[in-house]
Amino acid sequence: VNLHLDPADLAFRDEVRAFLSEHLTPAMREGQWMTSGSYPDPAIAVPWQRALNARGWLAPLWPRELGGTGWSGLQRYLFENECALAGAPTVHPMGVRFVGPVIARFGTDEQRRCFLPRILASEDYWCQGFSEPGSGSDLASLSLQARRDGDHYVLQGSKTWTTNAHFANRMFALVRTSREGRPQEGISFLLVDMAAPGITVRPIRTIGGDHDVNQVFFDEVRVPVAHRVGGEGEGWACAKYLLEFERGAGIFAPRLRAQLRRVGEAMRRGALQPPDRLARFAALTGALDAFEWLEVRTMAAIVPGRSPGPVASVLKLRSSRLKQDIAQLGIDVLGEAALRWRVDDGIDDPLARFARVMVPEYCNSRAYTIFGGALEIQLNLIARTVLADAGLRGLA
Amino acid sequence: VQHKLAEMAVESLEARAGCELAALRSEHEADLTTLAACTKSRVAAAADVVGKHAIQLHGAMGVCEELPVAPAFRWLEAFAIQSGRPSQLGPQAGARLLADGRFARSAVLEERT
Repeated sequence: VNLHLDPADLAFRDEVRAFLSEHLTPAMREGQWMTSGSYPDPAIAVPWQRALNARGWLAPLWPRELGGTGWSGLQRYLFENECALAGAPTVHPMGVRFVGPVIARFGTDEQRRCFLPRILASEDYWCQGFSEPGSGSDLASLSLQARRDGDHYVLQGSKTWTTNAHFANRMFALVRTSREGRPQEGISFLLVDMAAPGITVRPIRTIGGDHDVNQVFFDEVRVPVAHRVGGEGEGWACAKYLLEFERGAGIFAPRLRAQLRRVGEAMRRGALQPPDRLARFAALTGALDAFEWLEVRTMAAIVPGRSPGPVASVLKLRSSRLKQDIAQLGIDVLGEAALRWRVDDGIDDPLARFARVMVPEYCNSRAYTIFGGALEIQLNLIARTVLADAGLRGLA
Repeated sequence: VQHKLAEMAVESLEARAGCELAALRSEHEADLTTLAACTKSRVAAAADVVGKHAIQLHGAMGVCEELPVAPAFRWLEAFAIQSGRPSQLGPQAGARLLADGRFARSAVLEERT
C-alpha cells in the first residue's frame, strides 16, 4: 500500500462526493453533529439510509447477489471517510453490519427472503440481545432461557445494555436452549419480534444524560422455531461470525477525524489558545494521523468484513483511547462554559451548542474502553500475541 | 505485567505507523516542520511509555548497566530531548494546524497536488 490513489479510486471518490452533495441534507448533518450517543436517532439516520439504499450503497459487506457492493477494502475506507467528513449520519450497524451477514451466511432461504430486504429498506430496526445481567465479558455464561414448546420457544429472563432497544422492532438474541455440555454448546440464535407479548423495555439512564441503552425483560415470550438462525445449540458459531463483523469491520479513523474537527473548529473560534493546549492538539493530530495509516494499511490488506486478526485489538484499543483524548481536549477548550451544558437559556450561539454536545460526548466516551470487549480484554489478547511471537510480528 | 507489555507493543506499532506515514508524506509535504513536529510528538509519547515500562518490567535489574534496558532508556530520553520536546515543538505546530485546517482532513487519502 502506498499513498497514491489510482485513477479508478479517485473516480470512485468523486462519485461518492457527488452523491453526498446531492443527497445529504443540512438537517441530517445537523442531527449527526449534535449526536453525543453512539448512533443518531432513527429520525436522523433512516432517511439517509434510504438514500444510500436507493443507490445500492447501504450494505457494502453483504454478498453481491443479496445487495452488497463488492468494494475493495480501500474503496470501503474511501466511502466511510467521505461520509464521515461530510457529516453524514452514522448508519445503524445492528441490521446492516451485524445481523444481516449472519442471516446471509447461516439463514434459511425463507429467512433471507423475509429479513434481508426489510433491513435494506430500513423497515426493520434491530437491536442486539447479547449481554445479560451477570454475563458481559464472559458471554458464553449467558442464561436467558428458551424452552421448547411445539413449534415455538418460550423465553424467560433478561438482556441488558441493549442499545436503542426502545427504537427497535426486532432483536437478534443469544438464548440458552440447553445446559448440557460446554456453555457454548447450549446457545441458540433467535430473531425476536419486539412487539411480542411479554417483552418490557426499561431505559437505563447513563452518564451523559442520553437514553441509549436499556434492560429488556422477557416473560414467557413466544418465538417461532422458524426464527432460529442455524441449528439448535449452534448459536455460538453465528455469534462468533457476527463479532468478526463487529470487531473487524469497524472503520474508526474517519469518525474520529470528524470529532477532532469539531474540537479544532471550537479552538479556532475561541480566544487565543494557551501553548500547552496547542501542543496537545498537535500531539493528538499526530496520533490520529498515525492511527489512520495503521487502519488504512490494515483494511487494504484484508477481504472486507473479515477479521484482520490480532491487530483488530490494537485498532479497537487505540480508537477508544483517541475518542477519549479528543473529548477530553474538547471540554478543556470549553473551560467553565462546560458547566452550563444543561442550562437552557435560549442562547444558541456556537459555544452553547458545542457545550451541549461535547460534555455528554466526553462523559459517554468513558464507555468506549468498556463495551465491545473491554480494554483489559484487548490487552490480554495483544499480550498473548506478543508473547507467542516474542515481538510485534503477529500484530503488524 | 502482561498489560504493560501489551501497552508497549501498541505504542511501538502506532509510532512506527506514524514514521512510515511521515516518510511517505514528506515527498510532497509543503510544511515539513509541522509534519515532523506532530510525528515527533507521537513517537516521543510512545518512547516515554516504552522506556519507563521496560524498566518497571525488569524490576531493579532494569536500572542496572548489565542489561540493555538502561542504555535503551537513556537513548529514548535523548531522542525525546533532541531537537525539542513535544511541549516545545507542539505549540507552533498546533497553531499552524489550526490555521491551515489540515487537521480536519484525512492524513492518508488526500490527493497529491
